[in-house]
Amino acid sequence: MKLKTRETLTAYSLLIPTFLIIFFVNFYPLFRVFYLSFFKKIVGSEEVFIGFKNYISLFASDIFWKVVTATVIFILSAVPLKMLLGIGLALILNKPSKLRPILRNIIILPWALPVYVSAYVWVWLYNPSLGLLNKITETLGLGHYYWLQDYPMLGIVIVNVWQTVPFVALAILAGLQSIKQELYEAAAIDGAATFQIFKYVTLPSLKQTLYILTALQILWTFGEFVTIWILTAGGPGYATKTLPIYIYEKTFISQDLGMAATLSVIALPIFLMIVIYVIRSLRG
Amino acid sequence: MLKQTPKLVAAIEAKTLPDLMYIEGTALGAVAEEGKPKYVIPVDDLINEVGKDDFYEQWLDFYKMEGKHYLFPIDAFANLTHIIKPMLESVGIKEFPDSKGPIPKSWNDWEEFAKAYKKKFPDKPVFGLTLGPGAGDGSESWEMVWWPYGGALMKSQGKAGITFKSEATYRTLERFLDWWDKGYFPKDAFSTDGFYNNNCYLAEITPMIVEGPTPYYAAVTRNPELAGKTILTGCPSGPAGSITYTSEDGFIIFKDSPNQDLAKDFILYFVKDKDAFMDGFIKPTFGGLSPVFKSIGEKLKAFSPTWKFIIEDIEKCKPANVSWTYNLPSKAADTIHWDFTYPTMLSRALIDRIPIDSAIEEAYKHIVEVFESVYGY
Repeated sequence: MKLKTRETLTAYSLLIPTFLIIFFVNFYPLFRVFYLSFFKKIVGSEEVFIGFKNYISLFASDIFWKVVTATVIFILSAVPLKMLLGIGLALILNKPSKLRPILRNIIILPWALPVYVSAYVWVWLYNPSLGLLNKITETLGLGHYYWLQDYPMLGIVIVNVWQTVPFVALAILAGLQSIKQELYEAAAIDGAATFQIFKYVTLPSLKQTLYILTALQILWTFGEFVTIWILTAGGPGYATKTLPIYIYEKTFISQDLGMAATLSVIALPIFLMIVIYVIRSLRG
Repeated sequence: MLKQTPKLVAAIEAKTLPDLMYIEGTALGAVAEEGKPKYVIPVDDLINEVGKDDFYEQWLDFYKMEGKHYLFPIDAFANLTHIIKPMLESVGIKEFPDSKGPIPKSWNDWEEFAKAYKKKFPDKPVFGLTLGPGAGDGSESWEMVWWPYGGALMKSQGKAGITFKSEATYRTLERFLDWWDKGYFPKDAFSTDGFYNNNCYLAEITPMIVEGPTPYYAAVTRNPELAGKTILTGCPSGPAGSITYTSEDGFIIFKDSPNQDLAKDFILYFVKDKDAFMDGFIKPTFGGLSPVFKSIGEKLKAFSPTWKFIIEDIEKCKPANVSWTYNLPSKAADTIHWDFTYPTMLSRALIDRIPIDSAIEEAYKHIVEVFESVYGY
């Protein structure tokens, strides 16, 4: 055997363990979920092949469409808000100031806290009888609110935005700091106003970062579970029953693995499109 | 339960079930149903060894299927009405229509009280019941009103056994809507806080709650003043009688365990010295857990008036669990209770204001889906 062939074989053989791990950790579960979606599979029972029946009954189910609606509303409300607030915060943090290091540390706190902990903090903030939010609104004469009951979607959007804006802001800040100073100087010499500088220099330079961040935020918001489960458990009614909550219920409460797999498979193309978008954005 | 089931589900699928497990009895449906005791073995030999006659029959037979016992009962609990006496007395009703005395015994009595209480305190809620998802209390609140008015989920396995859609269901939902609109429930009753109703009692927000004796236990240990002004009575009754939401915990031994003998030894060791079991396990809960052994029950009755009341109440109650009126472990009934079908229906009617018929139909469709998925017929 030639030396080059032997080296190539050695190289491939060294990759085998990694391939195996990736296969069993990433691809096998994916195939298994896809496979299960064509079966009636209740925990502890045999798998029974039923073709597309899970898909058909899901699309015919009113609850499924309520779940899709809640998921879309959640994403469309939370993601733009995170991006806008993230840009705003990043611009503030980008201004030279003695307080900048302290501000950065304070702002990162919500993101640094375990999601579980911050969700419970918000449960108490929202508490109608004892919560801080009602104390504030009452002191200001703005009334008394049943936040998670009357405005459940708004309630979870606020918490989700609060938790993730620091990450968005820091990522944008990194993008801002990589913009060449000369561009700003040139724009200033040409007499550009602050907003024009932002529109024609800052935003185009941040385009790549914003694309990737938006895609990531759609992915992460789509997959949000802990906060919603702790704050509203998907309720009241179907108001905050997003796809991950519904999948969890189908898996661990209904123990209907076939249907849970079908729901996951339906979510897959959406995820894939976002991933492809992210990869293409990364390639520039 | 919500934390226990995912572990059980994962262990069944991964074939990594333990030797034995201490579970809430209603969860037994996940591993054994009538005709399908798939994963667990009967524990009749253990029950006989400990002394079958010493068990309260109602607890022992609660999870008996086809003549065999699959759960070794350890403790039980039954819901009780916690009443804050000064709040009850504040309206001055001396005789309620059904109880014929100063303490309300039926939902009818409680409605009378609520009317008078709201008249005197228009801004204060009356019934400290959880209506939302979170823990199982929202489901229990529905069941505790629904059952005494003749409602029930099922009478047998399979879709044909569903008894959910009935006049009783319609009337009960109508009643909840009426109570909600009249402000009898706190406005945040749809909270997901699993301790919501407990807090209504502990923070003295409402004159009454219905719950296992755990809130009373909390009062005894943390707020003796509140405990001192608390009246404990059975669950409010309705035309169908006093049907109490009850559950019991116990040990199950898994069929595939290579250590079944060790598991049995462990259970025997746990309860063999009944005095030690009583002192170490039951008594410190101040009624939060009730005994399943008559001998312990008798000792506790003599120990304190509160224990006497709790045990006598349990002895008298008509125990019901999530599968009432079928009253055997049922995975379908367990799912309906724990996936918050009832709280969802309540919030659809009370908050989203969809018509009662539609809310019931929506819940019914879901119940049928669950039954089809569990029983396939």
